[in-house]
Amino acid sequence: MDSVLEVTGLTKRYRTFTLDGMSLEIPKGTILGLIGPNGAGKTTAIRLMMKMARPDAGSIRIFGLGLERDEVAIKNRIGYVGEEQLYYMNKKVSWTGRFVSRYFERWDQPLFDRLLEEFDLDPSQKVGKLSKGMKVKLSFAIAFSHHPDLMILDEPTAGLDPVIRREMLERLLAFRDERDGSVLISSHITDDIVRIADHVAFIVDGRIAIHAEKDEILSQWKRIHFRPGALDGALASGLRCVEAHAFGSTGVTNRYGEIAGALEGGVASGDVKVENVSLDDVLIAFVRDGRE
Amino acid sequence: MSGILRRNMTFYIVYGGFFLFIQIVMWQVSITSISPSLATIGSFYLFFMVVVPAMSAEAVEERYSAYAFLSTLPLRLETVVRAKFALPLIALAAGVAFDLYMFESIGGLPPVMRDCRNVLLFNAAAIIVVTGISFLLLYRYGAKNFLVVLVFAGVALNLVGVVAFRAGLGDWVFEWLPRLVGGRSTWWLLAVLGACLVVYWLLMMAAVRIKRERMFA
Repeated sequence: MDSVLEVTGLTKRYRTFTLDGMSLEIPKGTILGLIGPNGAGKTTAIRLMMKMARPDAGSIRIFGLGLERDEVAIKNRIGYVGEEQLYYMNKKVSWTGRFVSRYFERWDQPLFDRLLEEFDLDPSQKVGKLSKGMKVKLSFAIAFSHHPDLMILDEPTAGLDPVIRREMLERLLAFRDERDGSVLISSHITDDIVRIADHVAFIVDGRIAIHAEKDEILSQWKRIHFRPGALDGALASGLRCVEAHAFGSTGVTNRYGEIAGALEGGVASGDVKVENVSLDDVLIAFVRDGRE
Repeated sequence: MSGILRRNMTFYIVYGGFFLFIQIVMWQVSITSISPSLATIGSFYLFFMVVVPAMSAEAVEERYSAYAFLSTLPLRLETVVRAKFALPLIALAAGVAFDLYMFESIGGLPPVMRDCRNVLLFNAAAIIVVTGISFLLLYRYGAKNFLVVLVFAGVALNLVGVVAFRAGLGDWVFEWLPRLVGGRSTWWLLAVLGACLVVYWLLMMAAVRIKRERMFA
C-alpha cells in the first residue's frame, strides 16, 4: 500500500523536551490516530510535518516529496486543522475564505460556501466573534474546500461539544471512504481515535511507544484479573502495571496471544478473568511504565 | 503573494493617503517657489509614507500570529517576506513620483530643479536602507519592542533638532543635505539609489533568515 506520509528518525530538541527519533507512516486511504498525554510531543511532531518548525534530524516525505523542496506542492494537498485557530480575527469569515483561496490551487468556492451553510457559519461574522467550536468548524471548512489528499489535525476536537465532535469525526470518515483520503489525527481523547482510526501510534515522552493497527492493539492488549494465589512468576513477567488488591491482582498485557494458552486453566476454573482494554488503558500503561 | 500584498496595502493607503494630503496642502497652499531645503522637508514625508505603514502592518501581523497562520498555507516564508519588502518600494516609488510631479508643476531654474531631484533621490535611497534595517530589527526583537525603540528614537531625534535650532544651527539642519548632494549629476544619485536597492535586497535575505530562525526555534 502506498504511503502518503513517511517520517523517519524525526528529532527536535528543545530545552525541556526532545522529540526523539520519531518514525511513522500513513498508508493511503487510512486514518492514523496519534495518541499521547499532554506534552508527549504530538503538536511538535505535527508542527514539523507542517514545516512550522525545523527538525534537528530525520526526514519527512509527504506524497513521496521532500518537505524542504516541495513545501508549496505538498501543502496544496494538505488540509490542516490546528489546536489553535489562527486567523485574522478582525476579518470576516467570507474574507478569510477569499484570502486563503488565492493560495490553494484546487480551491472550490461553491464547496466552501456550502460547508459554511452546513456548519451554520455566517460569512459576514468576524472570525474573532466566533466561538471556539465555530472557529474549528471554519478550519474544517477551509481544510475540506481545497480537496486535500491528506488531513492533518492537531487535537481538533479538544474543547468541542459532543455534537460538533461527532459531526467532525463523521466527516473525516466520509473523507476517507469517499475520497480515499488519508488522515493524521492527534488527540488525547482516545474515544475519538477508537471511533475512526485504522492505525494508532502512541507517543510518550517524545518517543513512539507503539505503532500498529488499532484492531491488532486491541486484540493483543488485555486486562487480566487473578484471584489471590493465581498469579505465578512466569505469568507476572508478561504483565504490566500489576496492582495487588483485596481480591487478588490485576495487570495488563500486550502479549495476550503468547500467554493465552497458559491462562486457559485459570479462566476455566474462574481464578483468572480476561477483559478487553480501552486505548486509554494502553496509554496509561505506557505512561506508568515510563515513570517506573 | 497577491493576498499578502492586498492585505498590507491598506496600511500604505491609509498612512500614504494622509501624508500625501498634508503634502498637497503644503505644496499647493504655502509654497510658490522651490528650493532644495524645501525639497528636503517634502521628501521627509516619504519616511511616514513608507517606514511607518510597513512597521504598523508588521505590528498587526504579530498581534494576530499571522506568520503562524500563513505557514499553514501553501506559501514559502521567503514569498511572504518578499511581499512585505516589495510594498515599501511600491509606496516609495509612488511618493517619489508625486514629489517629482510637484517639483515640475511649481518649476524653477534648471540647477535648482536638479538639486531638488538629487535631495529627493538621496532621501529615497536612505529610506530604502532604513526600511530594510527596520524590518530586520522588527523580526529580531518583535514589533512591540521595536516600536518602543522607534518612539524613543523619534523623541531623541526631535530633542536633538530642538537643541540644534536653539544653538543657531537651524540653517545647517536644512542645508547639510542640499550641500552634500547639490551640484552632483543625477546619474550619481541614481547609482546611490541602485546601491541602496542592492543593500535592501541583502537585508531582505537576512530578514528571511532571522524570521525563519525565530519561527522555527
